Amino acid sequence: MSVLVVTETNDGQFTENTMDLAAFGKDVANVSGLPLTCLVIGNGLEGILGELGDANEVVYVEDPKLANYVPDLWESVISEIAAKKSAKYIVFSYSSMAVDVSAAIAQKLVAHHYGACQKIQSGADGIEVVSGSYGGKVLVTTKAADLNVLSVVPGSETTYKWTKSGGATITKESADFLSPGKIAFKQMHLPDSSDVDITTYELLVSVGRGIQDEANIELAEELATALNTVVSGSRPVIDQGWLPKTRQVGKSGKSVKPKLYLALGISGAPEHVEGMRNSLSIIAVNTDPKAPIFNIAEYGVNTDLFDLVPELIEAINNRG
Amino acid sequence: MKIAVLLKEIIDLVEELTIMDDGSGVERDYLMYKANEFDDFALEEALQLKAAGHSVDAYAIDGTEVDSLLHTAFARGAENLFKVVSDEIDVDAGVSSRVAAKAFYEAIKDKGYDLVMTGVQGVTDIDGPISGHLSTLMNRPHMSVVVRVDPDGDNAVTCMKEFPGGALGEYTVQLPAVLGMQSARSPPGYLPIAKIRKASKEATINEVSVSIGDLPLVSVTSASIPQTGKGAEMIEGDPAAQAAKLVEIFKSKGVLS
Repeated sequence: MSVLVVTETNDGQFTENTMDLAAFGKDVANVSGLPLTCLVIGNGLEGILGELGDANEVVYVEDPKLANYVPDLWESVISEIAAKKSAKYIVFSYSSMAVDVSAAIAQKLVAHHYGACQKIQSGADGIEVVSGSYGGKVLVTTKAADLNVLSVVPGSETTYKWTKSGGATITKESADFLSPGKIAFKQMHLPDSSDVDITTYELLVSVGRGIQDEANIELAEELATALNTVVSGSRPVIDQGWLPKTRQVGKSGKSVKPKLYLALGISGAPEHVEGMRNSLSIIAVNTDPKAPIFNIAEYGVNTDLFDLVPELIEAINNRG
Repeated sequence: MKIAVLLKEIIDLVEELTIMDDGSGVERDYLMYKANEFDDFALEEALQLKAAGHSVDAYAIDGTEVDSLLHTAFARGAENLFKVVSDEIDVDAGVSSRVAAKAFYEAIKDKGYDLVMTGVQGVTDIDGPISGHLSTLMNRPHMSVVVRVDPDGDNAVTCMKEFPGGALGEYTVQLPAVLGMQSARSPPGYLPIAKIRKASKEATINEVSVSIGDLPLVSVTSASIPQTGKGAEMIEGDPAAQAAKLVEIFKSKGVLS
């Protein structure tokens, strides 16, 4: 039996979240007493496998067919290796890939599925998984089962710190078992680069659902202008078409690390937090005193942004 | 192309959540429910396909506001409405995504849909996204985090799937297939309340009774609300005083001179 961590790569490198995920996998291995296997799927990735040295074993499934991510091929490879390694825990990062395959694999293997995992621990009654639910507003503790698929929130705290060194056994597997899939990759469309690059700003004024209406974006723009920066936003604002996709912060948008991130009317759903948690400082403005954003902010303002922002613009413009 | 859109009501997180006295879960008596916005996007994208000559039916798991959910779907353009009910589902206790997936599967498995579309996730999907479970149950290809779907001949669709950084992957998915929708090519338009009222009088909701059986569901042993603002210094005072303090902080952080 083993713990199987499903790593992810982009442009020939492990994604930023993969090392955090591997460390989470090590926590699972330590709590369960099982060896850790990291699974790498792709083509031409030998050069980076050493970064997973902390694991007991790295299984690398290489094939030209796997040069680009394809959901049904990945599902087949992960299921095959999970069976081969008798994986008791299959650990994913809660990513675009995991949303395709984690539940499908749990259903196939009749495994329990634990979404939005943040921690694994030993409880009085066995191993426990702690997950965020209700948009991150509630933490639930659940009991691990015989066969478990975990989808882990990026940035979750881990006991183990991944060192990218160590003597993991590297096993190369062919993908001969793969039959032709029903999904074909055609091409990748990269985001429009003609708009401002929000990752280059030291300060971001970011708006969420609390901005309520497209017309109110102007107020945020006015504040951003006073602060010599630009407006970014969370998913609902982008989906409504109130801001361009290039301004989205979060899981499927940009990851930003400004000196200061001013979050206006953003609740702090895990998908958004993933893209801004590494900001040096976060100030959150929200009318809901229990908004999860206050858990990660350095400063909080529990006030209606429509009362605060006009005052703030005035205070900035009249500052001494 | 025959399309089924699967809808599920979710808890409205605007309402305050409280934990039951025994700490075993969220107090559900006073929760408010609403349509899952990702399901709304699934319906919207399906209706864009309907405009090109395809058919769209809507299914919803029984729940507090389920009739309203289906009437709204009808008002927006869905053709046939189905309410999925089961003696084995305790709606008041909350419907797990895995239970929902099984219930939807039982309701649609013999209906010959080419494309099944639903929201990418719900706010309490610990048991995993519905579309993933459903794809395995139906033995169909599955793609999620999809933001646009276009027909590609008679037997496939072209899907745009989101990746980090705003990149979009373009894929061909053979039909029949299951899709989890993150967004749509355009947001759902405004729907006048009068149109929903009219739909509630004109539309027929067909009940489909299904059997679920035993499923491997996670069991919550305890729940808690994370301590809010554990690291945050709350800035008190009226908005003018709060603004003055924020200006000081901006200066101290070196982002304002």
